Amino acid sequence: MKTLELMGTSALALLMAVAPAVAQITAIGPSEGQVNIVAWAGYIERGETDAAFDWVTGFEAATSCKVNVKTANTSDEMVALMNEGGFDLVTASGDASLRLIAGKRVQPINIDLIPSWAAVDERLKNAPWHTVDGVHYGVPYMWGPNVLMYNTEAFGGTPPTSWNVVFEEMTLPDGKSNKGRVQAYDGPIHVADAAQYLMAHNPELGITSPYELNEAQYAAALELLRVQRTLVGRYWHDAFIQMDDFKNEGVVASGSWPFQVNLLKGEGLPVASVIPAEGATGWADTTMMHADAANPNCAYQWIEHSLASNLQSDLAVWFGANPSVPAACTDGRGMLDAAGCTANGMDDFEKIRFWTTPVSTCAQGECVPYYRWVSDYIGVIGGR
Amino acid sequence: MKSALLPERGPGDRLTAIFWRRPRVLLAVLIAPPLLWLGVVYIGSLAALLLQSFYSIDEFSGLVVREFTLKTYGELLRPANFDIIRRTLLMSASVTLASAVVAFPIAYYAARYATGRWKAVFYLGIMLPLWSSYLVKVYAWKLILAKEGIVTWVADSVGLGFLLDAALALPGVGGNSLSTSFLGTFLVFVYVWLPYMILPMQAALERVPKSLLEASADLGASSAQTFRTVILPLAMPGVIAGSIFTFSLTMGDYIIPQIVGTSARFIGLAVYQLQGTAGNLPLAAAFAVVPIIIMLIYLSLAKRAGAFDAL
Amino acid sequence: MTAAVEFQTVSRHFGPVRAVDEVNLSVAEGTFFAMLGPSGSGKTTCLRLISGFEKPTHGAIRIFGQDVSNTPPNRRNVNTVFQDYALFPHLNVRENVGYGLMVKGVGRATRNAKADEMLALVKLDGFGERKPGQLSGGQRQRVALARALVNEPRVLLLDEPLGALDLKLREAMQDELKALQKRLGITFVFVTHDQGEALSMADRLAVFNHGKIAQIGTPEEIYSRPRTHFVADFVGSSNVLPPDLVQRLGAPPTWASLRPEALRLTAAQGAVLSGAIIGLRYLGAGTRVTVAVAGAEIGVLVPSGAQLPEAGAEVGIAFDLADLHPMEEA
Repeated sequence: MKTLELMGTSALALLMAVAPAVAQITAIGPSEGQVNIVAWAGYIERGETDAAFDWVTGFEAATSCKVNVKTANTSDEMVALMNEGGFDLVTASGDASLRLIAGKRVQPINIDLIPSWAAVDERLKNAPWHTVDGVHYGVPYMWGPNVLMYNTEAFGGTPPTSWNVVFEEMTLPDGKSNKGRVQAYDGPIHVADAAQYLMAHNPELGITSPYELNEAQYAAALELLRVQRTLVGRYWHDAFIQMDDFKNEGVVASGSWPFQVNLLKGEGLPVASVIPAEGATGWADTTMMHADAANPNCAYQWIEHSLASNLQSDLAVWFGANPSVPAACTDGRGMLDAAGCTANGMDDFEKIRFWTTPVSTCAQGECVPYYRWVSDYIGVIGGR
Repeated sequence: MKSALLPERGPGDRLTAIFWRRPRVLLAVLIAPPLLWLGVVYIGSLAALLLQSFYSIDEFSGLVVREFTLKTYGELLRPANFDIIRRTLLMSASVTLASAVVAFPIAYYAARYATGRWKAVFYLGIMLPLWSSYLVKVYAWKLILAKEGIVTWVADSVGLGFLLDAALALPGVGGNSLSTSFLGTFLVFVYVWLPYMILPMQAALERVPKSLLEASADLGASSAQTFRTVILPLAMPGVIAGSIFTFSLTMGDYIIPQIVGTSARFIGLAVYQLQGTAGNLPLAAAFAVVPIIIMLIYLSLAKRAGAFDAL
Repeated sequence: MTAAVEFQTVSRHFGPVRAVDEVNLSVAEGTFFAMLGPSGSGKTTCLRLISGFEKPTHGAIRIFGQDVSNTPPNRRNVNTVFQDYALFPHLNVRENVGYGLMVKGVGRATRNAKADEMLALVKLDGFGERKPGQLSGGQRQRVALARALVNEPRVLLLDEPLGALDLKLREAMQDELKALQKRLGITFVFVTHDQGEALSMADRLAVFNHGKIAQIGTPEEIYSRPRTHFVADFVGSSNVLPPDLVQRLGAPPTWASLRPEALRLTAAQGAVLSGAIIGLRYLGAGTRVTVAVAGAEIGVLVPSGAQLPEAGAEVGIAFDLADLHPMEEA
């Protein structure tokens, strides 16, 4: 957290130079009739996938704001969609949020218009991925770990304890090599997973944050990813394609989201998930509002709804994630209970290194910026 | 007495008269809208693209620097990026070649032997896949080629599993399964673009008179000689037309390599990712210019080979 | 002597259609043989049976005594001049002519020399570099001829080769083809629907009708002694007289033919045949006068210069009985 804050502060100096304050609205006016949201798959459910999971129809009935959702598969896609415009809100992860702020694609949020702000988890209220110089550019939505999903039959009932099953060639408990049977995330942010693995196994590299890598640390991470390339048949970027690969492609282990784990379990597949000893990267998503949002009144009402309603509770169950409002774990507003929160890692907040956009200026001086992560990860996947 | 002229029936006749007296007016009226569309929308966006490719991205802020530079094109030559270009070119070329080889007998049959009802069946068979959703087809192929998919199952049950394994063991193109290898990407590309090869080929073959083939045989040529010296040269314009389709479609596609393959980038996918990622529009634009240049080279080579002589 | 081409009860059926129906035929070596008939009479199919593009349904075809029923076209030492010439549009004239040598593996130099020689033979020296599309119809015809001759076939097949040419050119080509055949001494089998062409060029000719040969013989035989009503009608528009009329003329009562040019117009009185003129048709060299005689129409060719009666006038017809040729069939 310390490093994250430091990074946030340093990014802030830059941001203040380029981002003049955007006028906020001071009162919520009449509903515009709709709100357009860019969201991760499975984030905004209206009971169509599973009737038990619905946090949209109630909102629409109460506010007469129709919710239109555009799902995105990667953070890059989210940034691209927000750059295109035409949307009011986005559920941005930490590797996108600062880019959106720097690109002036999102506007500061007037927290006075959000009564439930007080209920937000203290650990998230001023998180550096959405708060710059005390200005809130969004409201915490949901957070969770990038878990290791594995096939219980291939692992003989013993959960893997290390991420090495997806980084190094080895024989799995079922007697076959892991080669061609593991997957990795098809996004440059996956470099951080490699860096985090090195943090635990190559301490001499001196990595303190997987999102702040100097040239040597970065080179080591890429080297590890090149080894991984020989093990991975296809990288995943679409949750449903990954699920299909676990079903039809013989994939037995991969970094994943609890979302896929829960759905596959629901289909009766022998899968489970674990947070290995090295810890996990994770996402902390923020509802952010487009600088040119056409429907600010509905947008503010949705933000309040996202904190106050059954959303925090039911979405946490649905996605295997953790609510941004701790009360949702216990107050019975939805299906979530205290045990569920613990299972999803509510108490592991400090162990999770949240997705953040890597920038050049960092605690150790000069770091490799995200821009390079993108092109180099393309190279690694291309066999370079 | 009856007049030599028929009475004018209204504005329609007057307009007809104007067009008759000044044929160019009609031409202008007909051609102006598409020309405007082409000029403004198409050429305009192409110019904007070209312009973008001469900008660069500021490495620190990730913002586009609107100053003329060739730095972005220089970046194309970086090994990882050059790999993408080479990979895309190789794939496009092999897809085109394979399409031509697969399409030829089909087109030949349709042009020479199919008549009446069978011709209709042929057209339907070729066109039908074009009418169903492209995405559905690609996802279907992902399942067909999957490790636990139909191809593996059939190969195993007829005892040809070793052949499949041998193909997948090939360095460079093989992989864990067809669905996660370049071979798989290649197969799906060939399937998806095949109709675009068959149709122009068939049209070209249909224009070759039967008497030419008889003349060749009459003069002593074997079937293979007739194919090489008469059919192939005369079908060439169709082959070239088809190859322009398959080549450029493969080069620009960004969906298939996302769903079937090794995740290694192709130009289309790289463009798609770069314009989203950190908004590296200049590099995306530079990448997008590559297929245009390759196509121009390809067309001029085809022209030199006489592919358009029959047009 | 072995026949160049021999058909032994050859039939070619296309489904229910008997395109060629039990044809027996023998073409002597070195002759110019014409196959004459209206379209659909089976003459072209016969030619394609010789070249190998059609296979006989029944019967045997022999070329110089060898049964070729199972020999594909490319292994038969016969070559064809196609009706549409079938020149290869992507090759120039020299390459077209040299094609038959190229597929036999003859080297380029020999090939080109031989092609130029052939082009000289058909009077197209210096046209080697042109593409077929740049030639006139007559020139293309010559290229097709040169191309077919380059392999020195023992039999040359010509499928209505002059059909697409205008009259003047056609006549010139007829003479040239005939001269060429004499010079080369190879057998020509020539298909045409033009009786004048067949009569003037052929040594022997076969008249086809409905897949069968109606008559086979020298042009003179065919012209002056048509065996059937069809032949009489098709070759030179002979008058065909029914038996009762023939009997009135003092000959045995059979069908008989009478050439129009063997008749003269006389006064109606005292003539054996007489009637009213119902038609006059000017033909340049003469006028064909049609006279209605006892229910039959008889054509008389009156040479130019002679005085012509008017339509409707009563005239008599005079002729030598020797010119009346009995026919075997109606």
